[in-house]
Amino acid sequence: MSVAHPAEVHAHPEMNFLSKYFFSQDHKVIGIQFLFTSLIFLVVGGGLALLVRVQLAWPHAEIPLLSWMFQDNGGRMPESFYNMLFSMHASVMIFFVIIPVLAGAFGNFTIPLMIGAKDMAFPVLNMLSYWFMWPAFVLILSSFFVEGGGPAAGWTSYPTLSSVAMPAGEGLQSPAAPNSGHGQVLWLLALTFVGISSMLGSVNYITTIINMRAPGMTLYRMPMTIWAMFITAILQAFALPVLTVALILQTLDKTIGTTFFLPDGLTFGNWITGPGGGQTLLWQHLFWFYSHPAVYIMILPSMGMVSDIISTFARRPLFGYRAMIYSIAGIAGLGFIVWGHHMFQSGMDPRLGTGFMIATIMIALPSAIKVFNWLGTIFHGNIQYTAAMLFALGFVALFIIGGLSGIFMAATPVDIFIHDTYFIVAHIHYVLFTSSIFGIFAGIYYWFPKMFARQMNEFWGRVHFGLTFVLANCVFFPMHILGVGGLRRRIPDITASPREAAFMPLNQFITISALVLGAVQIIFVINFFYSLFRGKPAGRNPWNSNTLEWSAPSPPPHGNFETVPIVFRGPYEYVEVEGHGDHLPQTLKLEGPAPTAGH
Amino acid sequence: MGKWWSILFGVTMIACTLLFVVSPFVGWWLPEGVSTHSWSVDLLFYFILGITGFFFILTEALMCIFMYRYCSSEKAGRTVAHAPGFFVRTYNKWTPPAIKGSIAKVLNDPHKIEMAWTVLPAVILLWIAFAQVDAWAVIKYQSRMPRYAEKNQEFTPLQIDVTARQWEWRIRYPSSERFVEWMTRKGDPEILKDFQSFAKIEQKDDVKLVNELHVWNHHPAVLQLSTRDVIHSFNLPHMRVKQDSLPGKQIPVWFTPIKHNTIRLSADGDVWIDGYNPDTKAQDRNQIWDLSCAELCGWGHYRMVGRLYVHESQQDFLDWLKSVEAKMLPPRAK
Amino acid sequence: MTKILPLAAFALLAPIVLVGCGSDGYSSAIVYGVRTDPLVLDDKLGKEGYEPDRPGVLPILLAKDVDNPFNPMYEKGASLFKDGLLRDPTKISDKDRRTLSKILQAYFGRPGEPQVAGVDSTATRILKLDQDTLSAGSQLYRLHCLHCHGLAGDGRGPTGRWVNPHPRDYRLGLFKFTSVDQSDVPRPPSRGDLYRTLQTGIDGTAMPAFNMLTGDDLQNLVSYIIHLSLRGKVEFETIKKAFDYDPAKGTLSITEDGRDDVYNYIDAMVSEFVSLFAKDWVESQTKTIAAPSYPYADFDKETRAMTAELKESIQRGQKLFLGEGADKAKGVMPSKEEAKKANCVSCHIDYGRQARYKFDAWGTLVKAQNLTNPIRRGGDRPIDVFYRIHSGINGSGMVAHSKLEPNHIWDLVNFVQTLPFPAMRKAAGIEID
Repeated sequence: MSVAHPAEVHAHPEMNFLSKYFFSQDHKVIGIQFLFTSLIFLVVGGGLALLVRVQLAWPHAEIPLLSWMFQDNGGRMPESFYNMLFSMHASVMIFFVIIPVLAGAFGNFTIPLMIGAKDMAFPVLNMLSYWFMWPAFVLILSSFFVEGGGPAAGWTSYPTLSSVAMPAGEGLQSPAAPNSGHGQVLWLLALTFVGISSMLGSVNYITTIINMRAPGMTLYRMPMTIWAMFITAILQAFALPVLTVALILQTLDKTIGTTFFLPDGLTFGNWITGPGGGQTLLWQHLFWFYSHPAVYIMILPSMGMVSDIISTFARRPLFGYRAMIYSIAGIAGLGFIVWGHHMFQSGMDPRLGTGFMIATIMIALPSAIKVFNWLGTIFHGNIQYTAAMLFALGFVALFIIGGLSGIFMAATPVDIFIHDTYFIVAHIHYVLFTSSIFGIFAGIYYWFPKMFARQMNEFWGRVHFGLTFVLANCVFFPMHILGVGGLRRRIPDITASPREAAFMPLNQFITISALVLGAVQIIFVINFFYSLFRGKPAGRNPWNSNTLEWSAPSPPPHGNFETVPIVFRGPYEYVEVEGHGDHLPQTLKLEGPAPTAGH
Repeated sequence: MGKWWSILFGVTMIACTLLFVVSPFVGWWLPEGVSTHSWSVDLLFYFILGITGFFFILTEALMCIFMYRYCSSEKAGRTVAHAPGFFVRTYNKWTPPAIKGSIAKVLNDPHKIEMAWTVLPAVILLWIAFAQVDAWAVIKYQSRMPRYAEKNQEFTPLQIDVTARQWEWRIRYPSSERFVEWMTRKGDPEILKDFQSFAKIEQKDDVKLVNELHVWNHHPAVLQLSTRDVIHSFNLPHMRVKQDSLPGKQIPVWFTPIKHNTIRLSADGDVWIDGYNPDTKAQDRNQIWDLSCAELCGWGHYRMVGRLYVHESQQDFLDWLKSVEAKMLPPRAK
Repeated sequence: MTKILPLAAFALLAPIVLVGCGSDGYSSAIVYGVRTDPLVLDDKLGKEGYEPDRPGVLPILLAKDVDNPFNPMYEKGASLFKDGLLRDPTKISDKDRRTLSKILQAYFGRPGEPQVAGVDSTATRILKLDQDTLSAGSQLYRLHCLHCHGLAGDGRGPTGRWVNPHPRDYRLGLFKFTSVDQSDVPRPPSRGDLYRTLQTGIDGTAMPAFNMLTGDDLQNLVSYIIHLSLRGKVEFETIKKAFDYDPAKGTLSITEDGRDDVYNYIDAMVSEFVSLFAKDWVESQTKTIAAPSYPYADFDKETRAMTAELKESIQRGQKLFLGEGADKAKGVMPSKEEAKKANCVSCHIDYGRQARYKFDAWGTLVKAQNLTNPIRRGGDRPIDVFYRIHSGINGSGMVAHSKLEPNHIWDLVNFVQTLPFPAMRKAAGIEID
């Protein structure tokens, strides 16, 4: 980050290296800190995923490079290790990559800049929200190395597999699985810290967006990114306490012998648990009450960013700006009452399932509206295929698949068959990888010039996109077929059932594609770091975009704007006006009657 | 150059669609549905596949067309001449002159377009939602499950106790004598009591097996599902049945097979094999129906696989049950 | 930027090349090591009580484990080695270890190519120890058994210490649930016994049923298990016999006879043990317990009630169980002497509900079964229970009761089979509370 700051005059005192890059209270530095740490975790999570894939394609073979670890298992990966891999892959990707990048990195970086504020409402809280991630980083990484290995009960950590413990004082080991002992406790604590961090962030975002908008920045002049961040922050603020409670309760179950989630008399060979009285379903309700909205926490900011990017590069106003806002709000609202669709087969009262099913199916509606609006935006546009735009378009194209496959699972009778098969895996990866992560890539290519005052290499960006787009489909689309065939998920060896063994060729194709997909990301990494130091210098507004952040210097100094920006118009007025090119920045004041674009 | 991107998108999406078209012919598709549930589940699946397939092709095609048609000829960042008041221009230009009247009006008004593409999917989605309630209720509602010889039920369901543990299915059947009593002495309150006590109280003469679930064709089977340790999920893909078993709870599951896959190996022997296809009267790998665990239950989860044996008739089932009982008996003098 | 291109191309290819490296079987680098965990020579190892081991704990993986204060052997600690109850094979000199390893490998091969050399062809045929069967079994073992039972059948696989009861350590040649007459000496099981265990699993333990594998696969597995057991037992006995223990220094050194020519000395000993133990296995295949036929009818054919005969048998069973016989052999009640021979309650305290954990022959903690629970680990057929009572359970502390009259064993079987079911207890007129 040795980016030369242009000499700027601003109110903030010069700071030393430590307070500038480490304990900074500047929202941009915090955002970039989030970005860097999360990208490191993206590599970790991706590596775990590739190991998962290798095991799946060659279940009986020695794992190259790693077989020395498994000598006492005949060179094969132990099943518990595989379970740990996918559990940690999901936990890392969700809690340490997607949520921190979207809310932490992009939320922090964009919110004050795009609403014309000097900084966040609570800079210290903001700094704390980043530094509360560090205990989580340490805990989650150390869980790989404790006795019994990292957590292996899935990222959902359903009791009783995850939470059966020996009586208090007898050690943390679990009779249910080796990995459900120390590793599980560390996982629970790590997530609690992530929760605190997100909570601090979301309080900050809500306050900032409500109180610190620049003059003239009415709510309906805010870009979609900000709307999405705003609604996401509200979602987090309301849903997170429930997860935190659930995590603490399970931690108590595991450490001091409470039995919130444990019924009595469970038998594990000679270990028979004592009196219980708890309910395993309680965890599932509490967990999904957060973790379903979390799915929207992971997709809405991407949707917002993609809306901005598509509008910018299609040189067209965003079609149906208000409808887009209402549909985000609709997704968020409905998002709170659909958590039960994860539990259709869980033993929950099936009548409850009917209600959740109807709400779940209706949540497809706002998603559909958004897709139509994006299509309406590029219709008759003047599309510029930059890397950012390509990733945004890739987002739309593949979110359609992720959205449509959701309807299968929402339909309760079909879910009976589809539940816990690869169809779910395909769906979640179309939503989280080809949508959320594509949105993140789009955002990085788009805001990189603002963050570091240099542009990323466009050619390699497009190569990165082209390969990623094709390979992501090679990896995740066949999983739909696996799911329709009824291949169960979370199994290390599909040859255990002859019916499932028939899917081996498809599995190997997916694995090879996944390995290449993983390798392709090296292009991005090289491009990112090369451009950081050697990229083409970018001006204030390399994309000719309207929103406020592009009127600030690149990179914006501590305090962001030279003068307080005054907002005169909405964010998407990409229209040709005599003497003003094809766009009207939000700060531009036009004499005479304004053109009537946008609505 | 920019137009190639739309072609890349288009080709990829066509490849995805083709995969869905081709895979049923390679055998990568829904396993054969062999219970009374499978008809409604599969119908709904194909129906949703049709609707989503239609919207998938529609939206992706539009997207590719737009990406091709509206590609900027200029490099990124340059401005292009663009007439103001583009909405009017846009829609006037796009609407073919042949379309007139109400449709043209809608297409010329973004607000009306917005309404159209809100209401239309809403109607379709609501219809999907309500169309499936009954199928779900039949499969899962306890009030709709077959019960013991009640007024409107003519049959006595076969009751089986399935207990999951890490990592196998422990399955308990009533003894053949007890079962014959259930079938023959319907309406006897004593028998009803015995029937209802089966799932709760284990008896010495119960027949216990591991990983082998036996039922017979065209007769409802009610399985009382429980677990000794962690959550497992009882999964019979061919029967379109899936139900988690919860520690501390007993959850009933039911299905009625409509095809059998088990025959006696020889006329008088008591060896029974599955994998028999009654349509072709031959052994068939696809007729081996597995009973697997679908919920992560620890490191042996993947190998928690059993088999479902559907006998042709009640007599076959009873013969089989008796043969198992005979193997359990102590040696007696003849 | 052009520099990136070759780099990226390399990065694309690298992982794909690597994946091809894996093999589907054991690599040749994997060999059976000479055992490192202490030899258990006696089961009076330490504290007994009501608690099983914690998950993740095997009392002795290595000799130093006894120094852990949480270990049930902690109180006796190092004196276990001094008194010769345990023997630490890591104290053998490296040179001798290498020799031993080489010789064992010559006889038994390595996991990728298992064999049993030095047994006669009859034994090879009866025990199916030919190389083809063993390699097939070894591959299956790698997939299905290894993670608990360990590479060398030592019960110390990666997950072995995480399950309780701990997986069987084959290296003593002792197996618990057999139909072989064990009344005079402990004998290995028959192939059929191992097959049955694989097929039905052991309910109440982490051993699952493998009945979804084909019969041939199970037979191959049985052969491989016999191979591992033979190897382990030969290794155990060779270490025990060929090395002298020096309590002062704590070392194991080769005995005087072998000092001149260590290789041939050990080789001769191993050769002798291989044929000896193989003979034991062969003998076991035909030594099935002769169980007399079951004398009672379960139910009255007319009334479906328990027969009076059976009721009496169950009551007799309870008397025997409790070690209470009639003073004089009145009627059908067992005599006091007979009852003393059974006296099950001495271990199955309160019908097993308050049984205590004790050390078994493998140095792990086990307890007498709670018989009010319907789970019978060795199988719940009456004949299974008969075998258990007649010949005991090897290594576990459950001794053979072959001296009991066969009909009294059936009485005990009837009683034990009635115990878990309250309705039947009532019908038979017995009280246990």
